[in-house]
Amino acid sequence: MLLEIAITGKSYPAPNGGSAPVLGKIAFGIRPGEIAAIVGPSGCGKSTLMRLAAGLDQDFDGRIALDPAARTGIAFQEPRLLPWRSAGQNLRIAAPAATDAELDDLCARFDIGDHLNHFPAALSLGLARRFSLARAFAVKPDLLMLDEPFASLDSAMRRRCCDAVADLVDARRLAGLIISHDIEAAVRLADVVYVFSARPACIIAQQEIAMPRRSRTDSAIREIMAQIEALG
Amino acid sequence: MKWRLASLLLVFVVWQFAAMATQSHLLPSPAATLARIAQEMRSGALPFNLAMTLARVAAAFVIAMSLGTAIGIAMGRNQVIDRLADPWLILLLNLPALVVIVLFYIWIGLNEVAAVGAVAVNKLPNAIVAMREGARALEPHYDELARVYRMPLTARLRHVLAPQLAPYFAASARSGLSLVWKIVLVVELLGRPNGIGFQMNVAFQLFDIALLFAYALPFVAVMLLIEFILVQPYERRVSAWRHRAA
Repeated sequence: MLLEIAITGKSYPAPNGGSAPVLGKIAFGIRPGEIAAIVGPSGCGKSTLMRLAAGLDQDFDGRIALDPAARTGIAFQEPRLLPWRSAGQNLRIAAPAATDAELDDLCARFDIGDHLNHFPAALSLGLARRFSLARAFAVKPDLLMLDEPFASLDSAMRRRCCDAVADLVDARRLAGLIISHDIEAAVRLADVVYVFSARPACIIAQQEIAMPRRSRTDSAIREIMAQIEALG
Repeated sequence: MKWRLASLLLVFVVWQFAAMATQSHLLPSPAATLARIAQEMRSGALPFNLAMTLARVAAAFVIAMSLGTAIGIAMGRNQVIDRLADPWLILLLNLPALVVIVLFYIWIGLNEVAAVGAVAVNKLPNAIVAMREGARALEPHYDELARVYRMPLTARLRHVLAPQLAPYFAASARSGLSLVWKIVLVVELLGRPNGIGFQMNVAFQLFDIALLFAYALPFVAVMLLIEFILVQPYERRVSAWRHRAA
């Protein structure tokens, strides 16, 4: 297992002084080359789970084991580019070992090559998000963590970026954790979809998708989405 | 720039009229002052004293800013250090400059170390307070980014920490510079045999206002020049990313 999650609970301090449980009992693992997607209602704790998995929050009950040798490429829910460096420098700073050809290839895939010299404040939210996706791949990760990767993209760009992620994942045999409230993106990319309940979140259903990513037709996607919606 | 020059010119015009109206040796005209400046330039006294003062300003400024930055960041990031050092910081902030200067001269002697040290100690608490604020305002999101992407320490300092602290450093440098300018003159007046402050004392003893102006004006000019060619461009550069153009 590249990432093994066995959480028994996670809560945040509540304004009234008590504590508000966010996550319940959650256990699943990600094998090398496997993409897991988590779908569920807004605010159910999906992003909290990603922060725990990335090791950014140690304050929880249970155990999370991330292969220490694994490199993580993360795209947070907000693009989180360094605002005082140009968009191109943001890629370069995160991935100092990447070659120019590799970065050019990623820029072409996410269609961001024309904006390398802009400061992040000058980018639209959608462009900034595409940069944060490119950055996650630029570090040559073993494990991807993408939080709402296609939010704030228009439908054509959403499709293009979704295909780009699918191509890269297949070409590099990446493992990953994708958080999304958009079930379609999850179904296009994942090998297994976990459906979360409302707070405190736990897994209420899971759906394996055996069909290879790039041969999933629109009608097949719709069928799997219908199955998952029936499960949830 | 146009308006700045106009504003300077206006001062000279007002000065000229005032000098013409009073006709007193207590207010020499701009022309008389310029002649005196030329005279002091030729003798070499003005460049020498100005250089001495500038060297003291530079030394005290560098010491205070580097120590202040290090201590300020440590206090901003670590609560124990903050609690330990805070009473001393408040003491230093409220200690009159004159007390520090006199104590340093008595304890260390009438020398450069005491002079520069006294000025640096006067500036130090302001630098600490500014940099502590900067360290407290560091955005944890970027820290998380650096951790997940395993940025090496040098990259973190250069790309994550320094850009966030730069506006605080710039503000502290600017207010610090103006404080250091003022205190250096007091230090020179009290215990140094040269420098602009020493010449001010000579001018005061002789009631020689032309001499006082002849040293004060070039000093102010150098101060303005440093503000316009160093401090302000630095502030603009570190905040360039806040504007939308690259």
